[in-house]
Amino acid sequence: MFLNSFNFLLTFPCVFVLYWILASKGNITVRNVYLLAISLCFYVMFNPFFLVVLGYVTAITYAGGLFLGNMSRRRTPGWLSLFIVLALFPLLTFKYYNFFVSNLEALVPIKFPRYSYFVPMGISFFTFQAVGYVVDVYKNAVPAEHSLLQYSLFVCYFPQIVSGPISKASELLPQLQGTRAFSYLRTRSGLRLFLWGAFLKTVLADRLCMIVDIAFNDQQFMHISSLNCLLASIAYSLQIYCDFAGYTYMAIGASKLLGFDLPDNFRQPYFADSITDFWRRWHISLSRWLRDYIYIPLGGNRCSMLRSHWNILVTFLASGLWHGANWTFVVWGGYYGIAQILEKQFGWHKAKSHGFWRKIARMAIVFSLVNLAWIFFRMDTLVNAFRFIGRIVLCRGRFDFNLTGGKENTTVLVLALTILLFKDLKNEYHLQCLHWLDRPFVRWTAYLVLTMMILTLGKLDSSLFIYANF
Amino acid sequence: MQISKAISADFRKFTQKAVLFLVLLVGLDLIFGIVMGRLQSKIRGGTVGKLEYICHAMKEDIVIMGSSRAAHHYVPEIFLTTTGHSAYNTGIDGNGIILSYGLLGLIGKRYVPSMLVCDVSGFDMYECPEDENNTRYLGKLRPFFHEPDIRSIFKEISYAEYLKNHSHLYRANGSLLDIFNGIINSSMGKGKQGYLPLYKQLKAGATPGIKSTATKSVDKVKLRFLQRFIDLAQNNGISLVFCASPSYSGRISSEFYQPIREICASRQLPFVDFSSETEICTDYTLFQDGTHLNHQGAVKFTEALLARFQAQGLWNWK
Repeated sequence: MFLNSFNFLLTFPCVFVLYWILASKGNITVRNVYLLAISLCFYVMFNPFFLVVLGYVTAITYAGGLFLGNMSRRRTPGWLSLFIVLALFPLLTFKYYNFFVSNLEALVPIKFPRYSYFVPMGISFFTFQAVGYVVDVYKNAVPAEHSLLQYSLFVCYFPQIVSGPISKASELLPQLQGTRAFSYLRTRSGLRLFLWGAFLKTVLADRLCMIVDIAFNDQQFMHISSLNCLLASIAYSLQIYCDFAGYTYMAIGASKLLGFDLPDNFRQPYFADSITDFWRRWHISLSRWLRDYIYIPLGGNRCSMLRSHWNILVTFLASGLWHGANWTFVVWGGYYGIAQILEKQFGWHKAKSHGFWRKIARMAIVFSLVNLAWIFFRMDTLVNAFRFIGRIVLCRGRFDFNLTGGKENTTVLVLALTILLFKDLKNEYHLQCLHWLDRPFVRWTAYLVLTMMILTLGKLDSSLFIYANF
Repeated sequence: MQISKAISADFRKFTQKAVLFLVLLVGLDLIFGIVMGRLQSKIRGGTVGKLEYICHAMKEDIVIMGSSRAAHHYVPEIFLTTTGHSAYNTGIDGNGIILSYGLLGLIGKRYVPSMLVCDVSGFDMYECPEDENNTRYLGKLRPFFHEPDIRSIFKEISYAEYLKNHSHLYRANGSLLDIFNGIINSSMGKGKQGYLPLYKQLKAGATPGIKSTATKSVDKVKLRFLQRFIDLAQNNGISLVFCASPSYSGRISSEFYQPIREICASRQLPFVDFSSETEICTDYTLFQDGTHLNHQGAVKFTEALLARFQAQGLWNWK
C-alpha cells in the first residue's frame, strides 16, 4: 500500500493509536510483532508473490548475519561473497535477467528464453539494506541480530520498504530493540513532514507529470517545439525531486509518528554548486550505501589518482544500474562518474564561490548539467534521449502553451513552486528574514493552507511514486 | 512512574492539538462548501458553468450527450434551423455514460426533453486503460454530490470516492480554478449552445492510428449504466437515438461500436452509424485530428445526420 493512497490515510490513524497502546505496555516483542504484521499486510497488498521474495531476502541475510557473526575470527571474504550473491539473486533475476540476455544475444548467436513478470516492489531498496547489514556484521560494525522478529522488521518496516530511505543496521536495529516513548515533539515533526511530503507529491510532482508525459511519452517530443521540450525536461527535474522527496518525507514522517527516526535523504539538492555537492544532497542514503559498500572497499581515494578515478566511475555505474536495467541508466551513472572525476581533477568541487551572482551562476550550471542527465534517466532508449537533446538544441517550432497543462495547471504550479522555493531557501540559508514563519499562528495557518491545497488542487489519484519502479 | 506521566502528558497534548486541527479543518471545509455553493449557483462560464446550466436552467427540446466528440461534432444551431426545435450540446471532454446518466437524472427532475441524441464513444462501453478506473467519470459530478441520485452513483462506482466527497474541499478538486475562471469570464468554455467548435485542420496525408477493439474488453459497469440510461429515457417517454460520429480514415472502425449496436437491437432503439461514411471520413479538411471534426466538418456532419434522421423517420419535422 502506498503512503499517498486513500486506504493508507484511512487505516494509518487506527494503526497509530493501537501501536501506541501496545507500546505503552512496555512489551517490545508484542509491539514489534504488531509492526511486522502491519508492514507485511501493507506490502502483500501490492502482490502476494512479492512476499516470497521479501521472505527469501530476509531469511538469507538473517542466516548470513548469524553465520558470519558466529565465525568471528575465522570469517573469510568467500563466505561474505556467498551470502551477498544469494541475497542479490532475486534482484539480479527479476530486474536484470532480461537486460543481461538481450545484450548477450547481441554478442553470441544463441537465443535465451525471456520472462515477463513484475519486479517486486522496492526490491532494490530492501535488498541493499539487507546486504548492507551482512557486510556490517562481517566488518564487526554491528553485532549479528539474533531475533528473527527484529531483523524481519528491520528489512520489512513499511514506511521505507518501497522507496527507502536505505537505513543502516546501526541506525534502525537499536531503535527496534528498545522501548520507544511517545514524544509530542517527534510526533508533531512527523506530521509536518508527512504533510509536506504529501504536498510535494500531490500538488507538485503529479501536476508536473502532465507537462513531462506529453513530451517524453511515445516519442511525442518529435512533434513539439524546442522550448516545450526544454520546459518538459526542467519539469522532469522538478517532478523527480518533488516525487522522491515527497515520498521520503512521508516515509520519515510516518516513521516518526511511530517513534522511529529514519535517515534523511535530501538536502535542497538543486542548491548544489558542484556535481559532487549535488550527490551529497540527493538520495543521501543511497550515496552513503554506495560509498560504504562499493567505493571504500574498492580503495576509495586512498590510492593512486587513476585508481581513485576508476573507483568513482565504477561506483556511479553501479548507481546507474541500481536504478534500472537499461543502457540509459548506465549512461546516466557514467555521466555523473565522469563529471565528478573532472571536478576532482581540476579542483572545481573545492572552489568556493564568492559573491551572490557567482554562486547563482554555479548553481545554474550544475542544475543544467543535472537537467541534461535526467533526460537519459527518463527516456526509454539512448537514441530517443539523444534525439530529445537534439530537438532542444535545434530550436525548432513555436511554443505551445496548451502543452503545459493549460492555465489551471500553470497557475497551481507557479504558486506551489513558489512555496517550495521559500521552504528550501529557508532550510538552506536559515534566513533571518523568514523567521516569522516559525510563529505558531503562521505555522498553523501554513498547515491548514497546505491541507486545503492538497484537497482542492492536488492530484489525488494515488499515482505511483517514480522511485517505486526501482 | 514519572516517565509514564510525561508520556501521557505528551499524548494528551498531541491529542488536543490534533483534535483542534481537525475541528479547524472541518470548520474551514464547511465555510468553503457554503462559499463554493454560492459561487457555483452564480457561475455561467467554464465546464462547471455549463453543467450548472444543464442541470438547473436548460429547457431545450433536443439534448445532445456524450464526450468531446459530441461537444465538437453536433451543431445545435443547425438542429434549430432544420427542425424548428431548440437543442443543447451537453458533451464534456473525456466523459461518457456515467456522467450522462447522472445529468439525465438531474435534468429529468425539472423537465422532459423531447429527444436525446447520444454520441457513443469508448467511454460508454469499454474498460478504462490499466492505470485508470471508472472513478475518473465522477469528477464532473462532484459539484452535484449533494443530490441523492448523484450520491448513489458515487456509492456504486467507488465507496472510497463516496466517502472522500463528503469533504467540500475535496469536491472542489479539479474544478476550483474552472469555477473562478467561469466567474471572471462568463462565456468561457460554454460555446454556442454547448457546442465547442474546433477551427484547425488536419495535415494532408496524415495517417492516424486505428483504434483497435482487439485489446479492449467491454466494461460491465458502463453497460449497466447504459441500460439504466435507456430505462430512464424510455420511462420518461424521451425519443432516444444513439449515433456514431465520423472519425478520419476509419480511425474508429464500425466494429468498435458492436456492443452498442447489439444493445440498440435488443432494446429496439435506432443506431445511426457514420463511422464509415466515406464522404466525411476520407476528407482531411473536415478534421482537426484523427478523432475530432473541425467546425466545417461538424456542420457537414450535423446536416447529414439530420437528413438521415428524416430518411429513417426518427424525427418527422416537415
